[in-house]
Amino acid sequence: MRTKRAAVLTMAAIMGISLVGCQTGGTTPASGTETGSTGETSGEKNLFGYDEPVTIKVGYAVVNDFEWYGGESFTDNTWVNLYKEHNIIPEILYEVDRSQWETKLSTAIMSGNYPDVFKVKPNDFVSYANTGVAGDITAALEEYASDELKAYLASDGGMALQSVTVDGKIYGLPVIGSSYDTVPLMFIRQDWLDKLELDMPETMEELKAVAHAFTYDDPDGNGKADTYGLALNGVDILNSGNGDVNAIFNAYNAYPGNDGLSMVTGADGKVTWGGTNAEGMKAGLAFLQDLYQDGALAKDFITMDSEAIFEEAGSGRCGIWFGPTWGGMNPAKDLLASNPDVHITSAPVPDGLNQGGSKALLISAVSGVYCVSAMCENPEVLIKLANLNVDKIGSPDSEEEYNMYFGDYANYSGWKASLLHLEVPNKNYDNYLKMSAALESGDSSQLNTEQISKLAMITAYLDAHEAGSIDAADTTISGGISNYTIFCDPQGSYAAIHRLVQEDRLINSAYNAFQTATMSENSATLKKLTVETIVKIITGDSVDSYDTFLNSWYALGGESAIAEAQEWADANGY
Amino acid sequence: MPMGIRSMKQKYRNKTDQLFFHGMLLLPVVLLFIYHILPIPAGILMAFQNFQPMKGFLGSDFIGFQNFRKLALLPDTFPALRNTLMIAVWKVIGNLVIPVTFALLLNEVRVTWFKRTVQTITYLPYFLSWVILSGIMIQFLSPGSAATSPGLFNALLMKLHIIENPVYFLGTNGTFRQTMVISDIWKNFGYNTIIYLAALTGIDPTLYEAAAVDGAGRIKQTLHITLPGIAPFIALMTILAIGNILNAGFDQIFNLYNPAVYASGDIIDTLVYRLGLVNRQYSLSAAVGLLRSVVSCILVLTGYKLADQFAGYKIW
Repeated sequence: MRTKRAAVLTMAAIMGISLVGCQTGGTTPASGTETGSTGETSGEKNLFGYDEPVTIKVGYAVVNDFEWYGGESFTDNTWVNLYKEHNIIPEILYEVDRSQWETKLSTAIMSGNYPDVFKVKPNDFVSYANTGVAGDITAALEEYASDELKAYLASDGGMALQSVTVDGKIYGLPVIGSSYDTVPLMFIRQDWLDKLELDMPETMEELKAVAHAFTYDDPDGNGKADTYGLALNGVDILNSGNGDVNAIFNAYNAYPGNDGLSMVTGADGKVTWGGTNAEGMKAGLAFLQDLYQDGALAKDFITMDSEAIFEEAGSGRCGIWFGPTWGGMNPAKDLLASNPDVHITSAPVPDGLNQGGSKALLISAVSGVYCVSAMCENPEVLIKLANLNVDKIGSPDSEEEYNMYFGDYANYSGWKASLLHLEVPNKNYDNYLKMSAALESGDSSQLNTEQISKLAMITAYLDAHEAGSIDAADTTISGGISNYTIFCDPQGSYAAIHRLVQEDRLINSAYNAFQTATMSENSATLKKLTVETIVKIITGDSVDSYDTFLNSWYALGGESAIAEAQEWADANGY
Repeated sequence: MPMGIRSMKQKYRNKTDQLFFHGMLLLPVVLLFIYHILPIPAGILMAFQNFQPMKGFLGSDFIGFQNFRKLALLPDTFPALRNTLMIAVWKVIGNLVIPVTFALLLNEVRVTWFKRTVQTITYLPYFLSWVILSGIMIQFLSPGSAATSPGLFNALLMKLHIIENPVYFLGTNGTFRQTMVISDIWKNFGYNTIIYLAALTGIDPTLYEAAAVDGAGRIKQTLHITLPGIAPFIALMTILAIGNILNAGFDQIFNLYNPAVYASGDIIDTLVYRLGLVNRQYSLSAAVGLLRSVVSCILVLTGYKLADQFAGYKIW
């Protein structure tokens, strides 16, 4: 054994570590950890794959706006081919819609036959780590993480890595996303506002007037009563996607949160649930109740799901909806075919309290955790997949490589097809700052590959729009308008985020750890009660029934959840 | 045809083909064993454990009746039980009365092509899954918004002046359960009718001839020959249905319910789904399942006893 390891070290020293498309230095010495995995026969430490084929079980949960481009499929796409090139052979256990992600995974785990590599929601992570579903990756991470991956994990000062450490062991790779991406914003049909000669609503009173006008003043000018103001996702009314109702409450300083358990610092300085601000919640509910009575909130919002919100907005029926930064992408793309002049703009949530602008809640930047099954014989495969990801996505070598792995909406389906996707933290905010500056100055020398490629699409769309020659079937043009609504429109979604940042209108969550076991045990009951109460009040129950609800909410585990959050905040000096 | 020849033929056929038919039965029996019988001990065990998938059935800790105590304290348990019973009882009754009536009526139709056509059309919805049907129903029963007109069903009711304003069938507690029951009957009655039609063909035609000679009209024939003739089937179907009395139909309700109708639409199955799959409290949901199985078992046995007593019907 000893001689063998010595031989390995020598060989590595002689050959140097030369790996495809990667610039890792040979700084990490082979530690004493047993590699013990199949395919580790050759001398050098392969950070990206294996020398012999290793099969891993995987499960796909794809978002509903995902499309395959260029004839790609689950078994044949740039990512799968890259994995295969590195002798990582994915064996697909299931392919489901994103909405089935957690239940499918939970069922698979229950059956004992579950994916080797899987992503979990932060709130579910602790129970997966505690119950031995997720494997310990401490040693594998130490040994196989590329320098780029290490830099990624250190990018937030190691906070995210700390949160996936349970009893001193690391059980997963945190996705350090960008909190900005999920801040709820208002999306509105600017072309309708212009047609009716209305201003962008800045207060909730103005929003009410605009919603009414969108419903009864024929904003699309076709002479038919086929439009309305606001759409909400009534089936899943507190969610992080399009049709989220949180925004309405944010206007009145109330923050129930998309998991129904957002913690904020209350007026008395103590940690509390963002929905305990009864005054604010009631004001938001009264606002929605009025809109519902008026018809400006879709009468049939109760049976609308996230898919339906896309459809309502994308078919030109609804003029206002709330959602995260990407909320305008698909509707803009869909509307382009029938209306080349469509213009979807975003703004921070209007102000309900005349306090000079509503405030948005920033939730933890960790949007998910990638885990490896405790039963997987090659736990280091998770690290290798992550190395591949940060290499191809974080620092693509060429525009072609960027297009292949990030996706170009024409030939390559991109990152959504990958098994593991770690975003560059706050990447989109950076994209906004650089791309909007470059569009204005015409100087693209500061842009990276991704930004150049996106800006090219946006310019193509803008040029075509100017020339009046929009071809909605052209993926460059539709990709252009999608990206324009996010990055380059002076009234786009990141411009709205920028405004929130500049005006210091973002407040931090008072609880930044993952949910404790008791929290996550009670969360479904609490959320059910919350959404039920919200929908009932919007459709006609007395606004004051919110007080009764709050009493039950405290009794059903809410009180202990708040106490646990307070305990955490005290311990962590918040 | 004299009875003697018929039964002789039957006997002859039984002897030669029995092995073949039993062979055909093997696969379903194996599947039934694997998916229904095998999990029973595991499920019972889990209900009394704090089950953790990685520790398995043998490694998880026993916690006695703690899961059941927790269940009794859960605010959702009793509404779910009530909703399940209300929806399931009406489904059992509706799925019995409507197909029997329809089969009797259809049996009187003498125009073959008409009979066949009606049978096929009513059978169609049975083949659609609730996932698809729910999408259709949401459109069909929509009350409309400022941008869209009411769905077909509301439009029809308004044209007929049965209602003045569109009703939000899937978004109102007052109509949700009824909508579930009626749509379930609508989906299944074509299929159930076929079972009764098959039973009807088994009635000896000579009985009708004899009754006609005795001066019995159509209605008398139905009451005294047809109904007693299919009574065993009705009893069988009822007993089978009673076993499902705590099963209000997960597929249907899960695809159609929403926060506005949680109060009337949350059933045991959706509760188990939330607890077990969404919240990963596997043991708690196993406890609900066990409770339901015990109740169903008692009901089936009672139903069987009653059927034996009143209809003289025995399955085993």
